[in-house]
Amino acid sequence: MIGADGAAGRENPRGSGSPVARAAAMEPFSLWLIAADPGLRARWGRWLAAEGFSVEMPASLSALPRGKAGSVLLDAALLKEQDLGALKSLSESRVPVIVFGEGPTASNESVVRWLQAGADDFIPASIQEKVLIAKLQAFARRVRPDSERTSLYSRKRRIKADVRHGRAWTRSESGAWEETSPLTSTELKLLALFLSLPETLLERGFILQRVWGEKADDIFSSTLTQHIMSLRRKLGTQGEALRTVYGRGYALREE
Amino acid sequence: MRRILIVEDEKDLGEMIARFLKRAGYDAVHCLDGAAAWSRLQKEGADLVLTDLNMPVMDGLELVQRLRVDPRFHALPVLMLTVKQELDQQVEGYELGADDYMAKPFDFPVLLARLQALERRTLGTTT
Repeated sequence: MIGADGAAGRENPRGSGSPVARAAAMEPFSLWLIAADPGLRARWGRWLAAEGFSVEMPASLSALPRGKAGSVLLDAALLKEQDLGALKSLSESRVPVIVFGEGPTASNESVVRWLQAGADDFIPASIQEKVLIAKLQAFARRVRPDSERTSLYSRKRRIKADVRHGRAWTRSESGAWEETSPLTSTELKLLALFLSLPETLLERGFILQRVWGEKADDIFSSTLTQHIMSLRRKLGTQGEALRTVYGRGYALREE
Repeated sequence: MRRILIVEDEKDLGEMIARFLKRAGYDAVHCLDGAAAWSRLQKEGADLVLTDLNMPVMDGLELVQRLRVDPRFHALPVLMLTVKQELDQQVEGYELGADDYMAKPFDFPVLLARLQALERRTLGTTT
């Protein structure tokens, strides 16, 4: 699809779908949350479900369903000596286990003990939502290497999109991320396409196919121009990176 | 012997980590920034990368971003070292492709246990 001159668009991309469509079509990643605190179960369950994870809450390690790919979030307070064998066995069958806890369970000695017993990670129960989600998505990428990234960054990290939630941010002069005004679904698809193929000339026909799919033949070229102009406006000064290559298409190129 | 590339702009800390990991059985090499690490990876490769986040020339985020779009390195395990308060940068690190992070300052036994867990998870070793 990407030509020798860095241009995309000579082959028919029909059927491959946009990054947005692929992210939406992904099977949910299974998580088993085994926690003593009902408040934590409710809070984490809500966070994880909102991010598209499929969450089950078995009572103990021995109640885990077999033969299903996913990860385990396990409360250190519920771990007994006899569970260490089960932990090792999960580790050997490549089921990632993240142990969480607080207070004395989170001392350096106990972190080392859990990791050596087969846990893949140890996190504090007070972990912030955004860090927990980002960490679990990193785990999901390892368990399912074909999974689609839902956060896309430009090469210089000045533009970022969350394709799952349809949000975008640009980097301000101070270095902080500032959310753009809401993008339409077409603008989001366009931005995701440019972020997944940075520094590449995307020909107009290629963009039309990737964003509008089967309906591409019915879309006027001027419609694409209008959407690009609107996206540029919403990206503010970072919108300058979305360059027009006259007579051919567009490219996301950051200085 | 696993080869681990340590990317740390504090020279003394980088060398101390390298010495510790050599004693733990790794072939540990140290670079002072992301650009030097990127250049070294092209020539010598590595099994794991342990990188600081804030560095001159090329920071840890740019390094991990480059690794993840390069077919030679897209599956290379990466552990990032960050300062505890840098939560947004941790999130950015994970989203760009880091596998784990550790807050500085850290204890060496915890670092070793995390690296071994990362090896198990990504390279399939038993430790």
